[in-house]
Amino acid sequence: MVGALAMLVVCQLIGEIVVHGLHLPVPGPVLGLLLLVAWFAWRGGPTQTMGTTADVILSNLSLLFVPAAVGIVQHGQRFLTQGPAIVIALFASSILTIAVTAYAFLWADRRFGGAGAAPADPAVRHDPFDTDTNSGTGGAP
Amino acid sequence: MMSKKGLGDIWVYLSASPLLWLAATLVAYLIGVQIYTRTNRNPFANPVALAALFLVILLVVTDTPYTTYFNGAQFIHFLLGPATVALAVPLWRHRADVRRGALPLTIAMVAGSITAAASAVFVAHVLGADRETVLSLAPKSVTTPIAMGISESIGGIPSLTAAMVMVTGIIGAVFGPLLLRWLKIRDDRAKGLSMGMAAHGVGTAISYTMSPLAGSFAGIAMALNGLITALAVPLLLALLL
Repeated sequence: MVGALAMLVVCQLIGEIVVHGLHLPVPGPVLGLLLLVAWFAWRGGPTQTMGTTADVILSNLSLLFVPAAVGIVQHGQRFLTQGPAIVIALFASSILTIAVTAYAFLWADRRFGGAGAAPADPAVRHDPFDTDTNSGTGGAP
Repeated sequence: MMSKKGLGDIWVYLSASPLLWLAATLVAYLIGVQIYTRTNRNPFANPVALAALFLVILLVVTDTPYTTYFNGAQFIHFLLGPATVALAVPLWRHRADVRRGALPLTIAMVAGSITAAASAVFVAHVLGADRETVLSLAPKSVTTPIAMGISESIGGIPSLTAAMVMVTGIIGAVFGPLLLRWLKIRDDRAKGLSMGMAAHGVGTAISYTMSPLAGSFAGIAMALNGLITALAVPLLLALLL
């Protein structure tokens, strides 16, 4: 567990160093993610512990956004005066983005994907809101 | 008298310590999750939105500044970085799907990224939002740390962008699943991709409830949307404004 956590943090750290050193437009953690994938490719995949640790963290991903969401409290004034414009813009844009992305993917997949059928909904249901972390090992084995 | 003064002292001590706000964040989230599960996972009872609502009310009522709150909450916030790195695991597990879909994925992500930024900027501009607001809106579909960086480089207000990113995430998490059902989109890859594209990490968290495959594609979309938007937004703003 500690080994896997260290691995995640070290990947992020290397990512941050490279991003800041080379002034890349990518965030450090994203580079860290790519680094970890490269590591898996070299080592033939994640260890059992790494798999479990990642599952536990990702199962509770929603929690990690709460502090940032509370930050809205700092901009009460602007949301009061320009609230409707902001909310309508965010709403319209979200709906459009979801529709455009999903249809663009389905179209391009039919046009260029070819190989293999689209996977159906897997029967296994992952429960990210299961707060009992002992059972948070769902997903792929 | 004595006990009232004692309680006051405890409050003064605790309200400034990280412990109180760390605990409050965890408890607010657990209550949010309880409500979400009890309402049969009604998208409108999104746990992040509920927890944030409870905490905002608490901060306003107790007149606590956000910086004091964040002192405690930063321990949770910090985990966003390692969690992003951890997305490597589902990405690895679904590498076959990703490799097979590489070209459609790229096309969909470029289309989605441009749509997200352009439509938000256009609508807010037309509705008369001021320039700072419009600029802060452009990177709103990107995950928080990248969005704040983009906002700063184009002349927006980074902390305002962070707030918009969260509102976007919650809108996507609430209405995305309903929209996908309404549009009759059944491909888990398309579902995850569009949720991650429109609603970054919050959309990714919701996609994991659909299936691990949807979650992985959402993670890919979230990771790469940051990169595409960072490159596309400056060009787009030059064209639009």
